Formats: sequence, structure tokens, C-alpha cells
Amino acid sequence: MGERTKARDEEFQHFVAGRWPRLMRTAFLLTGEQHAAEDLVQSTLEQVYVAWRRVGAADEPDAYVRRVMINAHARKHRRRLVEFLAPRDDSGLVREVPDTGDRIAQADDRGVLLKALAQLPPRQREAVVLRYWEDLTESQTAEAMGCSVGAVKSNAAKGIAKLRAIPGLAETVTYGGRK
Amino acid sequence: MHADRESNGDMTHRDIALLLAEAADGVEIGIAPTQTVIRRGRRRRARRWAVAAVTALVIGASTGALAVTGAVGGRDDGQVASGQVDLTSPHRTRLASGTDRGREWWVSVDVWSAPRDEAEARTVWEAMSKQDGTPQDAEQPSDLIGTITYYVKRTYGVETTIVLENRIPLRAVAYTPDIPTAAIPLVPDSGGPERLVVGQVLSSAQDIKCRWKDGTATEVRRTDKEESISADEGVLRGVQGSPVDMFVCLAPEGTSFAMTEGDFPAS
Repeated sequence: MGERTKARDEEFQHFVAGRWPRLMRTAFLLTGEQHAAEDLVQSTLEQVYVAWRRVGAADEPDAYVRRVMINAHARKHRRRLVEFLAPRDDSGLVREVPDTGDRIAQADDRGVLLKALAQLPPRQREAVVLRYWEDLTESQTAEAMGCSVGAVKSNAAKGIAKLRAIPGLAETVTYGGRK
Repeated sequence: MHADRESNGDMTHRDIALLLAEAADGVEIGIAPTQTVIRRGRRRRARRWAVAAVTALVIGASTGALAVTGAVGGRDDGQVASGQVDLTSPHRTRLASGTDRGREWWVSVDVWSAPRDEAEARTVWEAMSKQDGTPQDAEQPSDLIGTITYYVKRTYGVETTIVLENRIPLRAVAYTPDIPTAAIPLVPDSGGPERLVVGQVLSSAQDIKCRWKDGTATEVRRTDKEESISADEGVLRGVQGSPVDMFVCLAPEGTSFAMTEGDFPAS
């Protein structure tokens, strides 16, 4: 392995080690499930590695990583025409549901929010997570989602409105669910 | 404006942010699998390089053949000359549009050209990655060779969503009595009813009808331009860059899609 390649790999390793915790948290909010979050982060970073020579030298590698992750998440929810021809259940779209039992989810503040998030359509979930967890601006969120600022506003507003309307979540806030 | 500066209702945006932070703490972080990521990343990259090496040979060989025969230009699909094919952006066709409860909506389709070899496949793949994303059923660029990929987008108000994707062979589109059809809600994230119908048919198709669950039907009329549609009439039109035509119809309010039917005379 050449010296330059070795140096680039080391740089990438540092990048991964430094970003892994935050990427895992973001992916967890997006997918609602531990293994799905690991898969999402891992496949995202594999793609980033392929382009690392260019990405690592860029001003904002994090923006690129977010774009790749959101794209990978969105792909999971896109339907192919053949899926319409195959038998499917009434709900049509595959929904991500946290892998926690109802009893635990009800009792657990985290479970309440994760369940509420999982019930949001994917684009609303992405907008809420990027705006309110990643604390991105509307234009940064639009860049990550590959859409207009108007669409970000619309998706985030709808997502937040739905979260507010969930009784379990409101109770979590009202009665000290957060520290 | 940043999210935490907004406030509205009982639960502020700051509350939401705090709840998200708390929920995010529920994940087990573990140790970053750096070596696994690098190993798999290398495998992905090596696959691309292998593709590139083979392509260089193929291009060299075909260039020679063209020089001898003098056959310059012209894609196999006969649509445009080779030098004019833009592999880095899709052909876009607006299929239909309308107004629903005061909101404008339209359906468009992005068709990515079929790459003929692995070099073209890599070009298309990279461009797709930056725009619509790569198709779910393609693992690597070479999977795209000889197939067009299309993405159907629904815009409702300010929101545009890719609602459908498909990859079909450029030339080997076989006769089929089935009409591949997708029914989706017109209003994003509404969960239904599935009023908006998008389908693909061969250009020989005639008398397409969308039948609705309430027993009524909408006839689909062929056109050569984007048109507003209503529940009274659907439209069928050719799609730039695609070997198949596409149609759109809209169910009347209060009902949803049941089935499509049509005639396919031998062409």
C-alpha cells in the first residue's frame, strides 16, 4: 500500500471514529431500530470511503455524509413498479416500527418518541431529525434531503404537528419525560 | 432561522429537540467497525476499477471497428446520435397535471438513458447518485447496462416526492397482457385513498381505461403534450428516452383504484 493511500486510510479511520456516535444516533432516530441504524451508518460510510479522496479534501465532509445517509434512507422507502404487481398488505408501504414490545414502549419515554417518529412518513421524519436533532438550518436540511427549502418547511411542520398531536408524547413532556 | 428559536403550542421545538436527544441516547453506540467499513469500501472501489479496466479494452476494440466500417454515431436505440446522448442528466417529461382543492399537482418522469457499456454505466451511476439515487435492484453500475431507469415524481403544492421507480430493458420490452400500474395517494403522506394511477404500456396500446372501486371508469386519451387532467379523462403519452409510453389517471373523490384494462393490437 502506498504511503499516500495509507495516510488517507488513517485519515478516514479518524473521521469514522469521531463521527460514529453521532451518525449512529441520527440513524437510530431515522430507522427506530438498533440493527437498521448500524446497517445504515455502515453502508453510508462504505460509500463515503469510495469517494474519500474527494470528500476528505472538501470543506464540509459532514454535508456529504448526511446526503449519502438520507439518500440511503429514502431509497428504502421508494417503491418499485414490480412491487405493485406483487401481493401486498393493505398498508402498501413498508413501515419502520421500533422493535420494542408495546408494554415497554408505553412505559419508556424513549419508546414513546421512537414510536411516534416511526409513524411519521419518511420525508417528515428526515426533516424533523435533521432540523431538531442535527440542528441544521432549513437550507442545510434541504441540501441533505435533495429538495427545496419549501419542502423542508412543509415536511418539518407536518412532522412536528403530528408529534404534538400524540397524547403519549405530550405527557412525556408535561410530566418530566426529559431531564 | 434555527429550529430552537421557534415556539408554538404546548410543546415547543426546544422540547422536541430535547426529546429527540433523549431518544437518540437509547441506541447502543458500540465501537466503530472501522476495519470492516474500509474492507467493504475497498471492495466497492475495486469493483469499479475492474469495471473501468475492462471498459477501456472494449472501447479500444469498438473504436477500431467503427474506423474500418465508417459507421459513426447512432445509439442502438436509434433515438439520438451517440455524441448527443447526455448520460449525466435524465430526460424529463411532465405526464399530467391538475388542481386539487386549490393545490396544483403534477406528475413527471425522469428517464435515465441506458448505458451501452461499463464506462457509460459508471457515468450514469454517479450522476444518478447525486440526483435521484440509484435503483434499488441495481448493486453496481454494470447492472444498468442496456436498461433505462425511470423515476416517477409527484409534486403536490411545494412537495415533490419520488413515488415510483422502475428499470426496464431498452429494447426487449416483451408483449404482455398485463398493464404495470401503480396506484398511490394524490396527497403526500395522507395514507390514501389511492386515487392517482400511473402505468406503463407499449405504444401499440389502445383503449386504456382505469376502473375505480365504485364501479365507474375513466378513459385514457392519447396526447403528445402535458395536459391537465381530471377524474373525467386520463392521458397517455410517449416518454422521452423511454421505449414505453405512460399514462396517468385520477379517481373521482371518494373512490380509489380497482384495475386497468386495454387492448394491445399486434404492431
